Amino acid sequence: MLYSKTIMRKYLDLLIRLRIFIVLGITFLTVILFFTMNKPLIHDDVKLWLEGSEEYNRVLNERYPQASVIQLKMPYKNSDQDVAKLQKLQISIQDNSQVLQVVSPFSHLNMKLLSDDVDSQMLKISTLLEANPAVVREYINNNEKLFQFFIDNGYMSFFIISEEELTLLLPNEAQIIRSDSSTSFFDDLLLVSILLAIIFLLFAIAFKNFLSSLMALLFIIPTTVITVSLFAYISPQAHAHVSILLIALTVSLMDFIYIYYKWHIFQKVDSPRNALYRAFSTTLRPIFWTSVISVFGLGILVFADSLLLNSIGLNIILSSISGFVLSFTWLLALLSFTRTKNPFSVTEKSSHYFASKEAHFHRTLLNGFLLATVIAFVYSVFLFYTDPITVITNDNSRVVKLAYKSDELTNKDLKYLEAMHSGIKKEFRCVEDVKSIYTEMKKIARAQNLSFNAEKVDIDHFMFMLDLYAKSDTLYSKGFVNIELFLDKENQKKAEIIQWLRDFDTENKILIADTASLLDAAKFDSIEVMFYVVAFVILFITLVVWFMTRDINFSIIALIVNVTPLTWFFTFVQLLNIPISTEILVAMIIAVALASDATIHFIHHYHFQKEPHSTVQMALERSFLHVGTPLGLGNSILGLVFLLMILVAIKTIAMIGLYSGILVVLSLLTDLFVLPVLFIKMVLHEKGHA
Amino acid sequence: MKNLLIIFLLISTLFADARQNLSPEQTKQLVEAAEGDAIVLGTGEKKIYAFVDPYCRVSHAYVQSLFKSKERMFSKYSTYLFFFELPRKHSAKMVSTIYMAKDPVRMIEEIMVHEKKLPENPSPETEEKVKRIYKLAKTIGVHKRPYIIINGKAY
Repeated sequence: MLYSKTIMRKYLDLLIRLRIFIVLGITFLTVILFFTMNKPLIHDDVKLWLEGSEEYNRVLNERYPQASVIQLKMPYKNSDQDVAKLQKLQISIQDNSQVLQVVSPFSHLNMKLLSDDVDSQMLKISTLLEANPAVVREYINNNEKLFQFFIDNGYMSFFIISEEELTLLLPNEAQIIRSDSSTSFFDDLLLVSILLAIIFLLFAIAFKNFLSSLMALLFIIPTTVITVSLFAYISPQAHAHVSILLIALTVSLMDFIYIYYKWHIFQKVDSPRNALYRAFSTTLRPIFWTSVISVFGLGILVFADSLLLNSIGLNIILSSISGFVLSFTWLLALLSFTRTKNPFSVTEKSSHYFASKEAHFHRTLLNGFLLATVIAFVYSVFLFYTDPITVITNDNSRVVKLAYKSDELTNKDLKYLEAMHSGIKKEFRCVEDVKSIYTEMKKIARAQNLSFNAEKVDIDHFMFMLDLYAKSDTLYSKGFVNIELFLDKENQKKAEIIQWLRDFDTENKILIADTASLLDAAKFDSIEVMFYVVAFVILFITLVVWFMTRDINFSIIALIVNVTPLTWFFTFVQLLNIPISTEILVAMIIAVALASDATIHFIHHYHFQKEPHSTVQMALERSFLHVGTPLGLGNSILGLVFLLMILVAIKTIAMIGLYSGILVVLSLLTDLFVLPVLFIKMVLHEKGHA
Repeated sequence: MKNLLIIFLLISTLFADARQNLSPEQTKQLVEAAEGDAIVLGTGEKKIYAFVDPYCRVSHAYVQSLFKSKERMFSKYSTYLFFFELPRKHSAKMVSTIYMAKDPVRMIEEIMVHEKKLPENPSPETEEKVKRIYKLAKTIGVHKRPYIIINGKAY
């Protein structure tokens, strides 16, 4: 019913009659929405990652204050003056009410026997912060290994643990290492302007006219503005992640290019009005199905346990719907006002060249490639389940803060902590040290020549000693034992450590308490979700293709074409041990969206082709000309836009650009070199084409 | 009966910690029974017993730490201080003075925290108390100051 020719013709006539109202209405809506969009997009994705994540919810439920850890590096020249200066600095930082704790060489607990005579003795517990600078310097020099985590290359590190974002007045030579990025509406505007300028230029080059560039911008701008605005109205959080903009742009650009290209090329043999109708009638069905795949396939992310994934899911739904609606209202109305003189087909010669080459493809080459892809796929799946995937972690966060829930510290708790400490140190060499009330109690026992058996020791005694010297608060307070893990400089295994802790913690007593580690946990959880979503989408595409064609061959082709670029991408990611990041996940989404577009358009072209082709080469030529060209142009433009984004100073954007660019290129290569020969092998030969 | 008690105490000593003559349970029983002879700092739930000398430098450090973290130490713990002279410190008169003070806690703070030299003003009234503490200390095995007992165990 949707595809009935009469209805389509009537719809287009009505649209052309109302085109002035449509153009004015959508222009007005876009302008209003643009000027009401005054909130910058988020480039730092911490908030979006955390909200909704399992570990973060546990911290919230336990009402444990989530901490942020900042590393402060100060020059240290091993002199008494330096020690005195740095001691003063730590005291002034501790005086800040936002600071919960400062971990440094000076926070090291020092056990000393106070003695007047043999009949007058007692253990004294103090920190190096309270000691004489000369004594501290000597102590540090004599225990180099103990402090190697903090003192390195002439710098002493202080790890400042605070509940809120800190504002500290520090000396000029202080180096603060933390992961935050601030951005403004102006930055976003600049980014969008650069992207649009690149798109404008590339379209002008591809079609050898400025009309295509102008039309592309006139379509992409309202689609993106409406998507981002709708997102802001529907989504509960105040800020949207920058990836939303990029996904909206990708979806709208691909919708545009198929319609515009067909309208452009049909004008070679038809009137502009008829060309518009033909463009409309041949693209409505594939664009409808690609939108269905995006909305119901990728849109499933709205149910994920992460606000960031929810946001991406919702954004895909909104951009697909707005892209679909505007394609067949705004874009058709705009195109009806204009025409192309001497339409230029950029790929006429290359279509002929590729078609002649691919029509005589070597079966062994295809089979070899498919075999290699299967091996790569099996290898990726094997690694996914056997070798934990590295998640990109904050290099600056070398201290992991944990909290162990215990209303009243018991020997059972100490035993649990002991197992955790020894397990984690045995399992991970990168854990330089673990500090908690357990380790400090052991130190007290050693200083008092007492044996230490976690199951039998008198906890009251140790607590009394720690209370007496006011050292218990940083170790155990408000029903939580504070634990700090100190990781070496190459803390590549942080995500695995967090995962190990979660597996170890069968009693659900350990909380991950610092923002950076919570973020890593949230990312780790999301990776699995993302893999399942991608797998679901690929299967969904396969099903949709079967529904469209009722031909299993088309479904298999869709499956191969969608899986191939992702498989190779992940094989390289795993071979090169590239840590998974938000950027890779966004790139995956973009790649799946693009791959599904290509598949559906190609399949639609083949399946609903009414004219029988005399030869395989002709069939290929036509498909390259009608589908391959917009696909190639769209992917090339997007690939270039993404790769040029590497030059953008914002790291998140640059990385999304890099990974998406690589995936788009892989996707394009698959669509141009694998998809057509698969058609020849599985469909055209079966239908008996020569 | 008295001999039986001595034999019992001697046997108990064999099983007790090297630094205390009695087992933790026995020590706990004895110090709890002698609570009336101690000066109590704080009102906390957990009981700590300590033998201190008013002129002992290390005992000073201990009491200073108690007062320094007064808020926590006095609310979480009840510290029972038994004043027990270190022979070389000759503090018997001051022990008696502290026991006779109208506000012994204030006096402890003056002498041991602020390290003020206050006049000694002993009274024969405290003799019995001092003797009882001496006997208790010897029975338990108090060999140093401060001698801190937590859950019957000495540290």
